[in-house]
Amino acid sequence: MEKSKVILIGEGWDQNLIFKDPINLYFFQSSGILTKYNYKNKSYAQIETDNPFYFIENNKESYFCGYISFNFYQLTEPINKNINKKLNFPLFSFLEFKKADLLKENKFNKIKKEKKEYLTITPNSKRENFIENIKKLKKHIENGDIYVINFSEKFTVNNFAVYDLKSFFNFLYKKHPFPYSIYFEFENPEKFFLLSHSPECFIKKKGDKITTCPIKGSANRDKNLNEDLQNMENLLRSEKEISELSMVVDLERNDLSKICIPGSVKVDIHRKVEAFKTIYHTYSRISGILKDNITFKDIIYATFPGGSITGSPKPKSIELIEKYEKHSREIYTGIAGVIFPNRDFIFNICIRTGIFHNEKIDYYSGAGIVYKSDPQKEYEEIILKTKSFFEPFKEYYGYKEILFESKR
Amino acid sequence: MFFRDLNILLIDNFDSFTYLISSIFEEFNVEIEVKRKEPEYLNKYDALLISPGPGTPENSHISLNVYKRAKGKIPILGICLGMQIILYSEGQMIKKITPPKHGEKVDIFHSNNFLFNELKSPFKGALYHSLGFYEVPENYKILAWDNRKVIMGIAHKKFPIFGIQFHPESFLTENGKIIYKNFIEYVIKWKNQKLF
Repeated sequence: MEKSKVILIGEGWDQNLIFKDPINLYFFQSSGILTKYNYKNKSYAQIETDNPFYFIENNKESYFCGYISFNFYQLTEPINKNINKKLNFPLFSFLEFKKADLLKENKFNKIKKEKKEYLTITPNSKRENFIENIKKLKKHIENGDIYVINFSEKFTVNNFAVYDLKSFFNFLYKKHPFPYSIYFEFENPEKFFLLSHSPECFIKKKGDKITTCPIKGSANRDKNLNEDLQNMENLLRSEKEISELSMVVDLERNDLSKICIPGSVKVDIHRKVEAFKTIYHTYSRISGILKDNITFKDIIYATFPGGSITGSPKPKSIELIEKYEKHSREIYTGIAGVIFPNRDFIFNICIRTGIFHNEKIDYYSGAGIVYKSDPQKEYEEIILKTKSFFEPFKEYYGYKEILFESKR
Repeated sequence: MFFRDLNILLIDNFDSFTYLISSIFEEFNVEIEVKRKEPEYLNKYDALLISPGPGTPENSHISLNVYKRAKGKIPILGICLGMQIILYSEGQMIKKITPPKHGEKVDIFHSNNFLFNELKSPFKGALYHSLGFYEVPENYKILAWDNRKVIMGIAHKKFPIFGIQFHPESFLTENGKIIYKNFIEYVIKWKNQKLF
């Protein structure tokens, strides 16, 4: 456990796995350069290639664990590319391993130290500006530019000394046992940690079958049984949530149709409630049978980024996300997961995901905006979601309270 | 079903329905080429499809050009924005529909045009639009509508030009594939007899 670089935990992964002793790291930067870092020789090599994922096709005995950042859309979606936002992390990083170990137990050591401090979270934009932008997006919906869009805010915690994150990850999993939880530590080109407690599957490939399970719609769980059931019923009846998920289902059917045998793409499940410890979600499942000779690259280029975290139509939604979001999403709403030696793979969508680097935490939350959205409510929901992620920090690290500092 | 000798052009208006449409045509064994740029020649195609998409017809320059070039030469079917492009080209004013319908199932009524063969009236169809029409130009007829009287299907009175506002390719539309099959059958007849 101590030496592990990657931990996969939750029902979504089929098996809970840990990976240690990577042999290579492949990272791809927005400049278009793919770099290979060899752990044994501690050496870097730059590779020129048309296929940034060529190493996945070439090393068929290896496991690859990694992430693809949202901003990788630069390669997969045709939108206007003059966006000058700074990126801190490579567009993807994959660690290569020769073997995987089963995760036997999920241990954590709680920090006993009693702190008197507050955990202060700073949103990236002012509340009024954020709400104003939601209103502008609704105008785009009214004008027929888009039907639905996922709009997010970035939150930063400064002065967070990074320690014991692996143990904290396990603690968070106990609190929020989401099925696609994954932990990463990267040392190159810079050191950072990725803690993802995601409920959502981006793509699962098993043989020639490919499956995606978009989530849209959520409701809080309640200690009172009647209230709890009422929340679930309201979620199931909400017209806004019904149409939002339906739109994403059509979008995913479209994307899978690019790489699947015509007629094989099916909606297996539509609007099923999944009850987690702290939240209800509604999700659908769409699957298809891959055409012959479809590679990892083909699948990613056909489907990335996911429909539930962009919008429909996808290219226009991404363009508007870049226009109205002040931040770069980077790993948030990208994907993280594992590619097995038989070239089956499982990736989550990096929501409920914290990036820990340089004594800072980057966290993001988003909301689906449709014609019927109430801008104030959507903003409050984003704040609530963020608070719920940070709540366990109090118990683990002994923070007194969680505060939101308003941006000046 | 086999329609192997057909070659159809699908102009993609940067939409997230295009590949659903093309895969249905492929399922019927029709050769279909998806293009985002204006093709140099149209004479190798047996029909033109204009995809749905974001925005307004007036900004859909590629589709507008291809439509003008294909009009009267090969059968044309416009879907959602595609239909709007056709009517806009014919001078019909487009209106904002309030409230817009996105990802919603509604009743579609039709007048038994061949496009709707095998579909009862009304049937459930999926809507994804903010803009639409309540009227058509004189040389067009209305084939389908919803209960707000928003036009859901059109045809030219003389040329083989058709449009539908709803989305047969959506999983929300009942038996939507039939509409595309009906169109393919029409294109085959047209090709063999040069109907019109």
